[in-house]
Amino acid sequence: MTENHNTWATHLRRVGAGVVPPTPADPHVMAAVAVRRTRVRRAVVAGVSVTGAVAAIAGTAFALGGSAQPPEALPGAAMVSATEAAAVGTVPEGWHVEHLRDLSFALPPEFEGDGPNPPEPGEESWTWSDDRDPDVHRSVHVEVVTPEYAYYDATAGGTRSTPGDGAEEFEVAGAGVATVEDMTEELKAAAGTADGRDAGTPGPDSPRVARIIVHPAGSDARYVIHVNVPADSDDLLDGLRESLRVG
Amino acid sequence: MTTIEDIEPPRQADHVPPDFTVVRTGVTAVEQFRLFAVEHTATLHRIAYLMCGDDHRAHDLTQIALERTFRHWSRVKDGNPFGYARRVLFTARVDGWRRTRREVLRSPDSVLEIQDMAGGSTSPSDVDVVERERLVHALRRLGSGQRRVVVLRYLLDLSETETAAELGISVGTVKSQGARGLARLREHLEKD
Repeated sequence: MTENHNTWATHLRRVGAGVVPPTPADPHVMAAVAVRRTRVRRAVVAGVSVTGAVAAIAGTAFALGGSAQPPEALPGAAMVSATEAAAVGTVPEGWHVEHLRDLSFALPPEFEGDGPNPPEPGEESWTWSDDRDPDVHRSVHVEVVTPEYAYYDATAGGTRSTPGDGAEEFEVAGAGVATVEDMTEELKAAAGTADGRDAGTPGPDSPRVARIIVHPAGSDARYVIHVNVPADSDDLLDGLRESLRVG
Repeated sequence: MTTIEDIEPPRQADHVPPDFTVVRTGVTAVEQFRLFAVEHTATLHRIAYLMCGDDHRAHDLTQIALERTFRHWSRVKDGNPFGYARRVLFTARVDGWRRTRREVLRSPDSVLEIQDMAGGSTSPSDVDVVERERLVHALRRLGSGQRRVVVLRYLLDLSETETAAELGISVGTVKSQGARGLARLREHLEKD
């Protein structure tokens, strides 16, 4: 390497050190955007995988159900009206109350809303997530659908709004029917797919996946709630269920 | 083909500015990342600008680097998060450059205009501004491989070994690309 080369390289380095972009970057804004986009991305991956895995059944079930018919109870279950419902809508201490249209529910304080997600299934949807540890996925995705939802069919990867096998009915104030599916085979299979494993073979670190479907009394709208939390999380699902209320 | 998702965190803790260290203090991952961003965004943005020579694209690349760094924060936070973000910057930049190179190339006239503006006065600051602008313009005329090596090796002052590791190429390639890139850069600058 010649002296001329070194001198030239030194000159280049000196000039280069003074190069700055014309517009400065705001690190606070850019960090916030990075965090928000990552949260949304995680929620989308988890939520869409679960709903996509059961899309074929969804379209068929909804089409057969008839869009103008009031919601039906599960076989063997009685319809529960708002006035008959037990005292539900209990908000655990420290949790914050959120709303999506007529549905209200509570979430732990560490869950932050990521805003409406237009590309998501459903006419309107929001995701709340706890990102204290990026390696631990904790999110609640809530969406509302009606028969008018354009993509509510099997071919477009729609959202299943009818309970699957293993669904248990529970009471929600203002709801005609509310069901919860907690780690059913169907959901576990979808979660396995979501994590890149073969469907139906979730690994030991698979998340706990649950789906709550709330049919408001006297309405065709259906709220679908996807819960993704670590396997040993019990409090979130229980607290969320108890806090649900329609109207 | 290696994709951005395949990037492993750098094994060496090189070129982490000495004033930043990730310390476990009980703060959340998000807070740690925000501290990291406050510390390093300006540097990443400057590197991105050197690599693409376009203000808007540099901003986008910096945003991508921060986003992907946060996505893998649990893996990179205890190593060299800045090195990881910088690698994302370089890898992400290549595809975008290929798609939009013609769009972001600025007319040489813009450089000449600045030279003309500085022609009447020869203050050191004006000369510096012209030289920096000419350098950015000349860098954009290099091929992507040569430009990456020149930026890392000569503008960011990494060693040949570090440059090779950063770009995933051999030291021999760094030497050849660097020599050719430097020669072409000089040629462009002297021609302008």
